[in-house]
Amino acid sequence: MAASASDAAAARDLMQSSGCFKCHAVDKKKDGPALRDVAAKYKGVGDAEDKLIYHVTSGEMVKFEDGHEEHHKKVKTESPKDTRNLVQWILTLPGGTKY
Amino acid sequence: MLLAIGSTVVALADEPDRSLQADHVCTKCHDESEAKPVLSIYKTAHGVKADERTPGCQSCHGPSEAHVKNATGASTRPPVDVDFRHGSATSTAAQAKTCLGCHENGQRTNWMGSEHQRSDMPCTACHEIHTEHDRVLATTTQPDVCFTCHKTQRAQIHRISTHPILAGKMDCSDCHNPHGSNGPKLMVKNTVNETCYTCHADRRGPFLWEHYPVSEDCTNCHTPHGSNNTPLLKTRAPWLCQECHTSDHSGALNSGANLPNGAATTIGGMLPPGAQSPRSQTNGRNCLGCHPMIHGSNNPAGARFSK
Repeated sequence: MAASASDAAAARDLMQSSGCFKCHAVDKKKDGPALRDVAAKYKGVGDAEDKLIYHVTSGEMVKFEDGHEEHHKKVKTESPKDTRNLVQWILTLPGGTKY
Repeated sequence: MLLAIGSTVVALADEPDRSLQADHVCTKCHDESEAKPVLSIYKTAHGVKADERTPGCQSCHGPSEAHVKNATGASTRPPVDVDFRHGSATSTAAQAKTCLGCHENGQRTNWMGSEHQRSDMPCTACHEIHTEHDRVLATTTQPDVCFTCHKTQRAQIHRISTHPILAGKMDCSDCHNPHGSNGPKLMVKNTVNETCYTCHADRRGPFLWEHYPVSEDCTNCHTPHGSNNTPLLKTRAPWLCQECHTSDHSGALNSGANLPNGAATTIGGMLPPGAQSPRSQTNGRNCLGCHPMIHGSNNPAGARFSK
């Protein structure tokens, strides 16, 4: 399984340098969903990786709880390999979380 | 009943601390996951919430509505109103004004017009506000902050004769006030000598016999950051003394004039091979061998600082 081969440290570093953790935490909800919930949502979805890669690289609009919308941040890397590693790491996170 | 108590505890735990309510608008995004820690400010004097004067995030960074609301929906939010990051759009003056709003007193009274202010340096060039231990406030780490720019002084403190800066017993702010001063070179006192006398009180006098260059400016003879001539001398004696004293035996190095064995030690101003006595002017402690009280003497017979 490709996801199990992800480099967790590199993924976390990229998330931090890209500012992802401002809105997402691993196991708690912030403005964005917990990463574990993202993993749970996409579990078993065939093209999960591609969907998430599009999400973190396209700058598509995302809706916040208060109703306003803004462009999703793009990960700060030019390397598709690093982006895929980040997404794979998210998908390896166990279970969902409750909040 | 227990369940009710339990749910109350949970409810309280979920609520941000009352004193931090205002900060929550910032800390809900800028939390422990930041690459550069921000929450550690709560371990500093700025985070003492028991003191009502203590600022919150928006006291220093401004309300920053554009940043908080991000009305344009941009993926990168507009910067905060007062942005202290290097190269930010907030002017240095505006940054300093924010800090001086509380800190314009005491040692910062002379900030306006001081060298660092005129060099357009923001407070954050030296200070780390969010860090638990601001390096510039500790004796052992402060010099490294100053030496980031003052590289000549960094080299000088590695010379043979120095103030104990590397030993961690002194720091730059023992002598200098980086926030501005009424004296030269950002001295903590009004003059160089007054600053030196705060430690070297025995040099202050008043003396019956004054050595005027001493009372005029210590740096006539000394270089404070470091020298290869002990003690912190600009040049080695007797050459240092000879910069002013040019007559008699003080002027001609090997003359021996008016010195013990002077006539026997030199021929034509040169030391002959096999002479029994070395050059008197360069022997032992040089001039200071005979003039030890060079900073001033209180002995009635001390006019030549020999006693």
